[in-house]
Amino acid sequence: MRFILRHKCAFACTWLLLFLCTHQDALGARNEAEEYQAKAALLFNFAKLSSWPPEAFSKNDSTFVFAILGPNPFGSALELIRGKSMHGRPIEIRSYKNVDEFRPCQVLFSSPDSLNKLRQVHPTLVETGHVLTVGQADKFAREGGILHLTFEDDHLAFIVNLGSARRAQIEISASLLNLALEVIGN
Amino acid sequence: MIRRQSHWLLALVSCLLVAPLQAQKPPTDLTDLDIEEILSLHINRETFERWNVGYRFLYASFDGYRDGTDDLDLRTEVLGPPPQGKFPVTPTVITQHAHLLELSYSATQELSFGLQLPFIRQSSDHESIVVTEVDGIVYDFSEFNITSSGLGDISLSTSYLAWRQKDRHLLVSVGINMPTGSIDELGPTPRDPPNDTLLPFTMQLGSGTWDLAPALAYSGRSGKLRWGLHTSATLRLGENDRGYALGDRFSLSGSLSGKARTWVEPFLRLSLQKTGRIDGVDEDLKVPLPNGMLIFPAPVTNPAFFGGEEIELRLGGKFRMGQGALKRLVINAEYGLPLYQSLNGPQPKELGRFDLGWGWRF
Repeated sequence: MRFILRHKCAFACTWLLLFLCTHQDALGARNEAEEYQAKAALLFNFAKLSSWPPEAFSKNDSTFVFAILGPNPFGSALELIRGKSMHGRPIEIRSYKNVDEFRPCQVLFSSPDSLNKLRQVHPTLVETGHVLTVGQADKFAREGGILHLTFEDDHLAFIVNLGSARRAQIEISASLLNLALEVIGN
Repeated sequence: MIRRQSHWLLALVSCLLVAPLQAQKPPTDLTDLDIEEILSLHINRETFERWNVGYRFLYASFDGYRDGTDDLDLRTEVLGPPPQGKFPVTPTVITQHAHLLELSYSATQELSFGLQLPFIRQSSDHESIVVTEVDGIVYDFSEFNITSSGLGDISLSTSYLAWRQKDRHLLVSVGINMPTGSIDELGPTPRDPPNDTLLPFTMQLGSGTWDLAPALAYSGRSGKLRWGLHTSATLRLGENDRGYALGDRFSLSGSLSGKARTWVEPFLRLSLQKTGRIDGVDEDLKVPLPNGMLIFPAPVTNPAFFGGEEIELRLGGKFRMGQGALKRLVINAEYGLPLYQSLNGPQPKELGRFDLGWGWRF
């Protein structure tokens, strides 16, 4: 009798697993997103909760520029924010293959190598040019970048270098800093 | 036994084949979400570390005796001449060391497979009232020690992220414990000196049975605070070759953890465990009295004196080591303190256990 009970219990557990795997929608919809679409949305929200000085824009009607320098891991994900506005300005998306093509922007996603090359060519532009530098390589924020996109388990997370942000005269809201995985350079 | 298990194994395989085919439902416009909602999304990463290799060292010690919730005095209430409810041989201090090698592979972000290889070493000090003379040689067993060591029961498992929404998710796991650990360990006991004889259940290295180990983990987070509810079982599928099955084991636990710093996450866990008595008898563990009556010479040889209920508090922390390759190294250390033990006794009671390990994802 005991063996039969055990056997039934094992059988029931296995089929419960099968049910959960195949009928998960009955329990609730997932809440998930593709990596770079979520990163694009995070950048959009991060910029929305940050503020740039007036001199960050050459004209009153200048666009708000999101730029990528070097390899573009976003693919078409940044299309998500094209056509929207930021701080009353239309968003423009640019992609620079190399440093020579670079023009001033407000948000710059870059690899560390490209950022270092940019620093060599435009030393003041990166440090004090009101550019929110974004990257996802290890130590990006520790090496002077402002916003490091990373993961905590399978959730997006970010690290902020507040010192770099201050040098760039970009004000990051306290609510954003509270959500940061880590704030350094304070 | 294999034939009897075939239908649930078939169901398990079906489950694994069907699982990755589930549709995903991304939100329509992610920019409509606020930043907290974006951070709570589960991300389908384009690249992630699929392998995890790890090592754990477990240590547990037992000392003193308990029957139900009553502590017993070894020398006046447990050790003594049979058959007046006492035992001529009693373990005193038992220590268990286990070295676990762990390997897991994530086929997707939802589905993973695991392998665990345990290497076990156990030591048990004994006191007894047995002094035997064989061929003119006196064997004094008033104090003696026995040890056993070797490979334990290898376990295979699969885990599936069955449900997730915002910051909560449900992980379903099923494991199979294979009877690779020995249940025929011998040692120098007072039963038949100078020959080695079969060691008691506690000194064997495995269960001898195929065991099913289902588990459910429901967890979530709120800001930097994480919580979880976990339930698991070890169900013995039949008897082993020596005619017994260790008791089924059930566990329910709740945990709370928080990120104190980026490199450390302290946690506490409260768990309730219930373990059944051994089903069946290993006749080789009995010894005859001069009157021919067969008795169990030690509490740990009597299958009725196994299992019970325990509430344990675990305190520990996860430590992340830094940047670069070390970023993927996680060190885990925890100490378990039994707050409540109601044992099917007389039975050695647990003093505590320690679990130290590391895992590296690549």
